[in-house]
Amino acid sequence: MANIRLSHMNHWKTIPYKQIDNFRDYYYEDRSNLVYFQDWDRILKYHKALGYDGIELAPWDMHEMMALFGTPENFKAFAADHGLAVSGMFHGVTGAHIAENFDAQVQAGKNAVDLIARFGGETMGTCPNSDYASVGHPLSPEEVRNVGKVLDAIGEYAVDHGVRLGIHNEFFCSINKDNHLYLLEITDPRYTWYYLDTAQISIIGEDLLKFYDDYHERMCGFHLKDTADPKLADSIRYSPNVEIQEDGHRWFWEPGQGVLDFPGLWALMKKHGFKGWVSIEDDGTPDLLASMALDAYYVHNVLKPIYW
Amino acid sequence: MKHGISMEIVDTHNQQPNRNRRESKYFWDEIYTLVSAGGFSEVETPYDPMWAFGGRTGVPLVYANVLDKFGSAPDYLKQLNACGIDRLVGVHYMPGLFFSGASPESNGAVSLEGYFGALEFFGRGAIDYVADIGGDYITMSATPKIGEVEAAYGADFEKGAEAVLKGTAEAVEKLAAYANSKGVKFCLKNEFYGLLRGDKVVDFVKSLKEKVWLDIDTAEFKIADCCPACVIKANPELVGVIHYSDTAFEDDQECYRQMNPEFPSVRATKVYRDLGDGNVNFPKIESVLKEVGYEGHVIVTARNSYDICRSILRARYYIKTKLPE
Repeated sequence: MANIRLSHMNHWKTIPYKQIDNFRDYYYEDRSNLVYFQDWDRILKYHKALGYDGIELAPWDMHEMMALFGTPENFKAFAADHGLAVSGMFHGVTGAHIAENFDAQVQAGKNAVDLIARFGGETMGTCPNSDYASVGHPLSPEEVRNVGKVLDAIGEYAVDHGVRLGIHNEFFCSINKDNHLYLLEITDPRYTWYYLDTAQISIIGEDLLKFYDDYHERMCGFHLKDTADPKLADSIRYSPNVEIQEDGHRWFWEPGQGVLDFPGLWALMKKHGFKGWVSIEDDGTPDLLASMALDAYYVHNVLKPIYW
Repeated sequence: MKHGISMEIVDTHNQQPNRNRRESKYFWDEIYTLVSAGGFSEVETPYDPMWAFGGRTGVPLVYANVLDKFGSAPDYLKQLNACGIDRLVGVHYMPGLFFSGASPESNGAVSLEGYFGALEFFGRGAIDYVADIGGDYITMSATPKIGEVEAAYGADFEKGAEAVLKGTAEAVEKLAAYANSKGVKFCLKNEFYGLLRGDKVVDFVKSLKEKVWLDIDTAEFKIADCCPACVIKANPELVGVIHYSDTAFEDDQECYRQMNPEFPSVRATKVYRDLGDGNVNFPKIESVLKEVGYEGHVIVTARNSYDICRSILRARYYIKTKLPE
């Protein structure tokens, strides 16, 4: 049994079909390669063929997915038929720094946990709060503590349902370089874990290897992605609508295509004996299938020989 | 007959290679130069509230994003003019995302108050946008999908549909009054999967207290087994905008009742085709338009296009060879 299971964060946009049975006829309608990216049957086959063990779902896809599958359990079974598990689902907390939002945010988090449990997932990488620009000011210690209370409450519920909530930094989030370590310190390690997005933490300005080494006991999973923009200036990170750049500049790249030291990280994961899901996130790629293949090559040939 | 083109040729929703580029401003800045190179100088854009959320402000399909990137509607028009686009003549407003009663989070509960509240809020924004940019019309997808209504109401579908239509009439009357006060035509688009599919929309529009116009979208009428030329001929005074959309799809298995009817689950097919690739009789429709003296906009569209530039050029070739002046 491997220590690490490989997942892929679902950034395929709306996949309109469950399964295309008339594939050849459909292809001939317009002789376009698009038909290769329009059904879950083939998308899941690509995952399996490239050596992924699972898929991580996105909440913004749920409406369209349920239109095709009806229930999370049906999707779980369909994925299992393709040799895949659902590793978890991303979740976003917003406005948690405001104490009055506690109940609504905890309820939304519990709903997400319920959904993940029905999919058979184990992780809930969670953006801890609204983005910096929309909050409009640096969070006070009390506001960070409000965020922590929300995360702990959701996290306790999650643990009871077989799911681990992990803080997932976003480089533009109000939980950022100046307060995210404080958030880690004040949250309950029994309930609130850390879901390490390798690119986001580096863009924020942390040293990826030192951060993992310092907080390895809190890790419940990874978003593995590279970047060519570590230690990005505060003025950029805190500006509005920064994730999608006007000129198409990409913050994120496939592992090995940026500047991060993944072999060094893997040596530390071996040292600390990490066990769990590692989910590759191709956020912003123009060609998901090519990226998935590039990722898989890197994992199987560079990282697996170090530790798996 | 002067033909404009709908920017629905840019599929922002469904997966395809390079789709991610469509979330950045540079993509939209360039695409209009390609549209004008294809011989189109008037455009309609989708007005899609989805792009008001999630920090994707590079997509100029809601007013807030246009303001964020260009400062004002007139300044955005100047940008379009610089690309060879003379006018943004109208928008297609799609409030359907607010009808999410069938989502797993809502456990089947649907909030009509929430749906119509959001519909009116963003609808007013869309009307403001059209007025400020010097456009002529707004066409709104009239109702949620039948499949969404069925999913939300289950056995109470008839009752639910009645409530949705009653609320739609009230909301449309309010928005139409606002549009009329701004000199903007308010039209209704009746997709083949909506509660007003086919010619049901005609009686609905006639029943309203405010002047509301029909959007004759040829593929939508044809798939619903309703002759678009006949509707035009019978109701010339109600026609507000024409959409030339092509199709070869025959909905003989009630795909219109699916939650995602543009992608029929029983047999995958490209429901909306590029102009000339389906079997809609456009020369006949064009002759009827001339016969009734129609002087409004004719907008070519190819929803869910597989290849934007191919769709533009196929449309131009078809117009040039089959629909000469």
